[in-house]
Amino acid sequence: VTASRQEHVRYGDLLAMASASLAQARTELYRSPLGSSEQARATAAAYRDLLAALGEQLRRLYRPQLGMDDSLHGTTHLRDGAAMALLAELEAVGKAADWDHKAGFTESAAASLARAAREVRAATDVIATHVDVAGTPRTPDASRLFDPNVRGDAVLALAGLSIDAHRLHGSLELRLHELAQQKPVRALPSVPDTEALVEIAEGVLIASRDAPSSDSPPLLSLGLARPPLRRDHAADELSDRIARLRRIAWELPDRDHVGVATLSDYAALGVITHAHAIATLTSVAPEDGVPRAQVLEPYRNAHRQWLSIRQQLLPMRTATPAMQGVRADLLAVKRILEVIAPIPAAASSPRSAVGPASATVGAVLEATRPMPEIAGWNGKVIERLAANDELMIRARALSGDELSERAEFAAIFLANGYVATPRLFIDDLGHAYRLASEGLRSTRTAPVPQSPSLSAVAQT
Amino acid sequence: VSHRDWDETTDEVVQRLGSGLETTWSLLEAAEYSTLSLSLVDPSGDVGLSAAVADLMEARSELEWIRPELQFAQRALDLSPDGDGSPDEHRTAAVTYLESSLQLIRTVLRDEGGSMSLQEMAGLARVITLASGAYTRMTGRLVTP
Repeated sequence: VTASRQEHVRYGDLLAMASASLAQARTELYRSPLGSSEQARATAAAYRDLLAALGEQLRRLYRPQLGMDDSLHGTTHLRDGAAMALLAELEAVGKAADWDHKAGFTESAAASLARAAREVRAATDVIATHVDVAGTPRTPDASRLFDPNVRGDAVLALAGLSIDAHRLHGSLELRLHELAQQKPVRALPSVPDTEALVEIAEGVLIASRDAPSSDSPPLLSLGLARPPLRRDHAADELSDRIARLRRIAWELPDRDHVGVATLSDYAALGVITHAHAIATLTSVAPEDGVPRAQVLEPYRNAHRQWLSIRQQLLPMRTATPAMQGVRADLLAVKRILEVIAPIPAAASSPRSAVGPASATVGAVLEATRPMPEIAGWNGKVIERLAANDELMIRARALSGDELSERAEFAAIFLANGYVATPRLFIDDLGHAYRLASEGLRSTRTAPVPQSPSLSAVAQT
Repeated sequence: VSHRDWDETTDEVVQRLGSGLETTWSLLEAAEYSTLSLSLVDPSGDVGLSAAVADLMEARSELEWIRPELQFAQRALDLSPDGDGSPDEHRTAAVTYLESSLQLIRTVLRDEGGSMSLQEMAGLARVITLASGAYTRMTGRLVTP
């Protein structure tokens, strides 16, 4: 059913493709001799080019930490030292080729090597989209590039590709000699000696054995910074829109003048995604041995926190209106969820005859996943709006005590105007955001609160 | 002495704020606020209330599309009863706001419908659908004409 599903390109996939292209090149070299000196030159150049591409990527991976003099700071791990040696060697033996691979040799080792280099460079580009020219992160996922422990799997993959590349070195030299014996050749292209490269790359593998691991998702799953929206399947569109909302939420704390309406939209997103997750989980048969209430509990808690955040934000105003892009994505998410995970009317039976497909359940639950992070980022925005006195609230919403806080409040109250939101409101809101940012994990083992009120949840 | 909008009848609110879409927007927001308050105290944890919240959010968004200036001039009503009200109080408040907003839209359609574009009328129809859906979620009944 999902055979035609579009997939976003991912960094790790491109490296895997490069590895396959390399294997293809090796087979071709093994199977057929080099036909001409042009082909020999092209193959040798493609080999050097691939090594250069691997070096470029390693440099890109370490760029956040590399000084002007190529010294590495901020790490003492053995693997990083070994990786630096690998970088130096790759840059010594590699040479970026400036030739048109389409000029010929379509079914040859040269073409396969050129393709491998292209795939490695495409993978480098995927990484590059997450960082701007100054090296500043452009996406929330860029932090993975700056985490040496997450970067480790990419370094390992590059060391593996270096070793793979060397595996065809012997065949390449053999074929060049063969050619020299068969035809009078003016000058054989030189092939770099990659014996040392293999030793260094193996050193990286050995040094990685005891490298610390990380909780973050692996770098290999990194996609493009701003992938296009897939619209063919509702679940894909949902996931892409949520990803876009997450990216924008990440940018908001650094942005001047964010409208409280946008934060309110994010709170609606939290309410909607969790409500539909609860509806979906309620509609599927419970897993063996796991009580439904226990599965639902973390979602119910998070849902409640976002309801409370939305309620607290609703009476607040800023001069800045809502961001239309966020609103549009929010409404699209709402409509998709209404179709793939409908919330039944109270009167109807909670479980339909046919439960949702497990892929749908997965997609709906997945939509709630970035919400804790978003709560963290939104909380920062509120702090900033409050600090800049941008966050207003209707004077009539204040209690008597709060009104007597400042002399001018009374007049504003009478004129039915707006005042800067008192600290107490901000603190409550900040608290709610903190709770929501702790996410499902923290509440999964928490005892079920006796009282359904938010204060009870807050105290646990 | 606090002047609470929710103590007023719809007629009084409309008299004070005018009968346009801006007031409709405020009433829908007040309805959503009460629905949120209700969700937070509702012991059953009915996610249908969240569907109502989402519909009311979308309804206001639709109004902002018809009248873009609504993005800037958003008058909040006194969004009460207070958070510690009973579920019944919150539900009654939400339903009252909803009924009033639907009534206002009808008035707007009657008075200004003739000069509206088809897109605007379609937008208002969508607002009616969403607000009626929320009403049904809250009451279990269809909106009575």
